[in-house]
Amino acid sequence: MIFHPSTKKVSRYLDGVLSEATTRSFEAHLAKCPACRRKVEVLRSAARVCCPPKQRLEAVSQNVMARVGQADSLSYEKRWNTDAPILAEIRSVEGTVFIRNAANEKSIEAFPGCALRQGDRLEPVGGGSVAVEGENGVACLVTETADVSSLYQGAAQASRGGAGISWAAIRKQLGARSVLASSAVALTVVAVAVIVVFDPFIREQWNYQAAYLPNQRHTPEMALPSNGTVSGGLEMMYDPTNGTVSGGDIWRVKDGGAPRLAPIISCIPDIIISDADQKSADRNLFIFENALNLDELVRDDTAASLLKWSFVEPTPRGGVGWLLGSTVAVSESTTKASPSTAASKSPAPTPKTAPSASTTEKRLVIYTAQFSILVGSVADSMKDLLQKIEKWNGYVQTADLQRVTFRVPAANFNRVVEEVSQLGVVTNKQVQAQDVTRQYMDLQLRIEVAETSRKRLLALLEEADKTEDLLKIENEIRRLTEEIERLKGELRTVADQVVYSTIAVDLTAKAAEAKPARPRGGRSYFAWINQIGAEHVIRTF
Amino acid sequence: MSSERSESPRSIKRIARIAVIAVACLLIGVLCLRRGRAFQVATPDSFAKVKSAKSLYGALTPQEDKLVVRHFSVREKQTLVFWTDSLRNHLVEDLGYTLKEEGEFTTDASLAGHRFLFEISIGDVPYCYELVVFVKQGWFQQHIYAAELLCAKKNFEKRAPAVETALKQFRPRHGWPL
Amino acid sequence: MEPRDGLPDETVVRSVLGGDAEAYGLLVERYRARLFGLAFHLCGDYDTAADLAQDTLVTAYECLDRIKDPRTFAGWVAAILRNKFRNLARANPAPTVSLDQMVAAGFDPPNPDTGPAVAEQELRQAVECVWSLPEIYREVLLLRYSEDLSYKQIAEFLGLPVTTVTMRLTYARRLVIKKAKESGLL
Repeated sequence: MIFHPSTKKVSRYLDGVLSEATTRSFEAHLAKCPACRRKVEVLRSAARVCCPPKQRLEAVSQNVMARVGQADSLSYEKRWNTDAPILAEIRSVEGTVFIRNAANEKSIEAFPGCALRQGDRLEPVGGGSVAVEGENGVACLVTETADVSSLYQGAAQASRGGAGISWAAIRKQLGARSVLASSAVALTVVAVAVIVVFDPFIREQWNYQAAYLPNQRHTPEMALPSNGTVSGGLEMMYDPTNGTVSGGDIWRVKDGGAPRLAPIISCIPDIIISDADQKSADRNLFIFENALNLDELVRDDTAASLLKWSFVEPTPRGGVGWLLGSTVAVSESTTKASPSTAASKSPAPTPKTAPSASTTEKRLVIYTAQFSILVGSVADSMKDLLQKIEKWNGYVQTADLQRVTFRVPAANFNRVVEEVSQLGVVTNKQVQAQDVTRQYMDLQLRIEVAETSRKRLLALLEEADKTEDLLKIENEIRRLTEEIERLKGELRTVADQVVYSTIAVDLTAKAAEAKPARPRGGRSYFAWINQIGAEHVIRTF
Repeated sequence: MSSERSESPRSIKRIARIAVIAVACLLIGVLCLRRGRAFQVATPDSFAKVKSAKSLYGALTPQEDKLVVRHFSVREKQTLVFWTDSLRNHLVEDLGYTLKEEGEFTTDASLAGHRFLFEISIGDVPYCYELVVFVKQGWFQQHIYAAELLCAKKNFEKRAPAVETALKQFRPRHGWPL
Repeated sequence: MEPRDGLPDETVVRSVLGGDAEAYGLLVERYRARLFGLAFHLCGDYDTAADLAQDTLVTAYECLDRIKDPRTFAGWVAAILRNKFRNLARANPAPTVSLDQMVAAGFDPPNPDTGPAVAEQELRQAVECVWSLPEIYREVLLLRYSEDLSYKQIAEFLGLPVTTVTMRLTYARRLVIKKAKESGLL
């Protein structure tokens, strides 16, 4: 089977662009193959008819040259590159442009730029000036004889600005576009930044942390007016440990010093108790003076102040005190949740739950409690309990590894009892309440009586002149003073016990294994949280 | 020669324009299509990395103490406090874990996180379960990284410091480049 | 532009611009065949083609100072030719040319020693084949043979890429073969 070359190959052969080897093989084939030979002949004929006849071409030439000869000689003014500054023009005497070099030889090239070499000299012929077209098409002017080297230098300098491809050119060309592009980019960046900074949702996130404070309460700072009264509907609890009143909201007070819990609150601002016995019928309002330390008042020895300030009622309902004859008062705390006593095996009497009505008399009650609790880990529970005691504003009286006796403000008593019950399994719980109002009042009365007597005796002392009378009176006064001291001491003790309830907790380790978990088996709303847990960790591997 | 001069700046301009667009596309592509794991965490001492995926990193010790670090992409944007509360609530109430410790945990790169330490018992064996959570803001979602260490209680003393060191070097790869 | 006479077009152009009118003769000799070929392709008549070529060259001379780049003289002068043709005869497409017409117009048939009858018959049919080609193919073919130009020269003259020229030539020849087969020449 003979393979005929393709038309493409034939075409290439006719154009003479095949390699030698291929040409030879092609011709060899041609020698053998008449069909292909014929093809080539046909194409050659076609070629022949394309050739214009020679005479015609000659005629064309002649006619053209004849007409060219008749035409005006071309002006050379326009031939210079108008981009470059034209510094001069070549004028020649004979209408021809030549450059003469130092040897006064005429250059072959009409345009000096092509033929000049360094060291050639140019001179204007017949006066005038010489123009040189440099390599970049820049013309430069020579008004007198000059060296080519210097001309070229000048030409190069003149052309640096605009010729060829240079960054300056690109920048100029790109100039507007790049400005647009860069300004667009800048705008985008600015827009993104604005969105990020001012997007309300994003900003909300920044502030979110402050808003969501789960275990704290807001502590707005309250500036005290100078007369020390503050109005507002506040329900407070009195805390005798630091003489402050606290309540549902913890208020801080600024009076120029460090913020501290304020001993000043006024619930109903306008009630002033001026009379020793006067109390507001249903509220027992108390108004304290600014920066008054109630503790000091309580412990104040002078009978006078005792009269003025009679501290009462650290009941579970809250601490209330009344101060008579002063101008500041604190309002009574509201009812807390009534204490729920867990079912216990002990036959102890349940504490007297003060009724919610505020019309009852204020009673002084000493609360005590004893617990025996089974816990998983005594050490941990003990640590826990000690922390909690602090939280309850209490203090530890005695403590050892397993037992702890601590005191908490009576106001917190019920809450503490509840929380202690939850420490573990309560095996024994006893709560006592001892009403010592009578006792207290008795003591108060006796102190009063004794004081009165002493006063009288002191007065008598003044008037007495007989020595034995003096001695007797003095003895009596001494006895009375001692008695007063003793009574006051007792009063203080009682008050102390009323104010602070005592709770004893005995922890025992559970013999059994770890506390059983009480899983609710619930799932979080959030899918990812549901994948957190030991089970998932185990499942990963 | 002058026509040449006017042509080449034009083509140069075109080439330059194309180049700029190409570079911009490249940069955008690089930023958007990031490959690899969603975070960087060093393997703690005596741990061996056994699992590595886009959002998961798992390591084991010879005693089968397990460390798992995971990444979650969450639509709801909340603060770290919110998530830690939710987590605590879920783990303590729903799963019944006992919370022993908790506190803040910040990486060396100042990424804020929260650390929980729970004690659980699997079978009769007490285990320590430590959970460290980081939250990072993203453009349209939040990125939450949770590192969990589950080890027998008796090994915890040994493992905890190594894990802590490794987590201090934790580096997330998502979120705002801030 | 490969210089035939040793001087590139650019130099000659500059000489002419410098005032050397005789130098233009070089350019005329160089380009007359091409221009003629192109003109012939466009108008299909020897006389008109000759006139066109002449006019083109004369105009080229007169407008030589307007050339932007002396190196592109070839393309420039071809453009002048096309313009002239366009101005001249919009309505007259190339008529079908016959060998008689060509002979009458001065075509020189080959040596009758090769066999006159066969040669003439063949030529006749060849003329028909070539002239029946579509314009673009005819163009390249005519140019190729007007002066035995290289691909590059044709490309420059016509303002086309070289690959296009090659392709068109090949295809033109293929068409010629096809038409030759149809007309029984092959």
